[in-house]
Amino acid sequence: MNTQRRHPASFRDPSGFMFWHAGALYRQINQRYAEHYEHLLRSGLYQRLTQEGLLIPHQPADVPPPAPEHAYAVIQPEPIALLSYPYEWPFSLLKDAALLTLRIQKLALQHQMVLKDASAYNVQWHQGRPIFIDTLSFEIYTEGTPWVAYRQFCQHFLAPLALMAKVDVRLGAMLRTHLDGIPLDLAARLLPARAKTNFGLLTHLYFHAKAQSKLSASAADKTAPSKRMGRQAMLGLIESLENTIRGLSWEPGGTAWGDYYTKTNYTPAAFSHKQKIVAEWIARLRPQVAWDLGANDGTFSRLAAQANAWTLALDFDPSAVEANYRRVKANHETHLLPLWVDLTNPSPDIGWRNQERASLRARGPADLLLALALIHHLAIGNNVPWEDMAAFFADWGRWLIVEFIPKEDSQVQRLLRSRQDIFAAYHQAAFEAAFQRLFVIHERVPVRESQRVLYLMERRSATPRPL
Amino acid sequence: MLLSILPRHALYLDPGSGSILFQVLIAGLLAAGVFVRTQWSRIKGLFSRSSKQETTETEHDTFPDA
Repeated sequence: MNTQRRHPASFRDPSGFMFWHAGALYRQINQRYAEHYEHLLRSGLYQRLTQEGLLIPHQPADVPPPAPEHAYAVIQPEPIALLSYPYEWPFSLLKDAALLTLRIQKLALQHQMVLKDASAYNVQWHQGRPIFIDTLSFEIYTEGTPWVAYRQFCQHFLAPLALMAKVDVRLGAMLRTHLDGIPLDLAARLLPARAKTNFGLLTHLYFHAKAQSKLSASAADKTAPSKRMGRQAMLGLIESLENTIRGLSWEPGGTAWGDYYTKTNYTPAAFSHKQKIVAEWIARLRPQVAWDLGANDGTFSRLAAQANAWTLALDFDPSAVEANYRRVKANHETHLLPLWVDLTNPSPDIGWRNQERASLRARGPADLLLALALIHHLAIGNNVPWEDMAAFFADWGRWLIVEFIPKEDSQVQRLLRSRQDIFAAYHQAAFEAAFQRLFVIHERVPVRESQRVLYLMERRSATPRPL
Repeated sequence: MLLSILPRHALYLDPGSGSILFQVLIAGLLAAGVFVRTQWSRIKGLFSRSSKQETTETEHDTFPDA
């Protein structure tokens, strides 16, 4: 049927696949998975997991299956507002996703099932918490068998978390080049020697990596068949992984812009005036989806989230993103997701056929973009001309709240301190002229007690989303 | 041969022969860990009154306090 389209990331598991039908996302379950699916439902595991908010709930769907010759059923999972990927997550979200996966594995065992995979991409952010989205990951447990997803779990969660905690949090970006997780031998080479004093890392990372290279298939012939791995051992493995993951921690330190709101040239009156204007505009626009570009600690993202917009708080500073995530957790905020994104190099389309993991751009456009205290970073930090910047915003959103920061501003001067000022066009008239080609300027309000100006703009309706 | 210890169902993931064998090799150690922990909590249980409710799996929330 030509209205149906298979999801490009859903091809590996022959148990079924995701597909779009009339704008909604469904899952075909194949006959070969029927036994496991029925066990998931009848054993009580599905009820337990969905009641606890650990697994995405689904409904049976009356939609024709795209591959009827294999089909057992079609289900419709509860939709996820926006997909995010492990290489965009704050440290603690990756850690929470790891613990979620292990908790599900333990509960599955209680119901005679196991996870047959442990991909970090099976976890998504949904209504204020991480949730497992792959209904077909559960398999009936055969007593005595090892955990087939052990390697994948270590690559997707343990290795990146260890590198982020023990070496540098920015190594989380390695997940972007290693889509099936970080090879354990690579992680072992990058970790400092003192990481070996951590029993869990020594076992599941160093020894595990050694075993991968030493215990070849030929060695397997001699040793494997005589041994089995009992349920107690499986539980021991899961608990050991759980303890190891829990023991990995990272504290966000002083950040480039972490003290931004306290050290900038904003007076309290200027800051509250800026908040008031932004909040008023958001209330008027009522966006469903808002993206805060350069969100820092999420102060302004929260104005959108509190107005019920599903809000992304994007920042390139991992400390700011982590601090923001902790705040989201502590306050049980359901409409805000902080992601680690460099706007000068946002997440691209990657994976098989460049279609498996969507670019950030493809996950837009947003109804509203917030670009507060941002443009000088793009214009001077990345030499972006005004025309390009306007095109970027027009590409990513319909409404735009943008703050103009004049060259005299101390934050701009700070960026210019170590370089030649080649930015003759960095002034308000040129900014407006360039933006007016793609946007209608609805309002411009000078921020009290400051030199900055807030703009409310709307993409011109005749302007198609540029390619 | 390695396939003989894997689940009987069709696997779509390559579990990695090294990873599988490694688990089996450390299985004894891991099972012992669980045994020690359960015995220890049983011993502790003998000496402590059940004044506070026993923590069940349900009460232990992975999120947000993980």
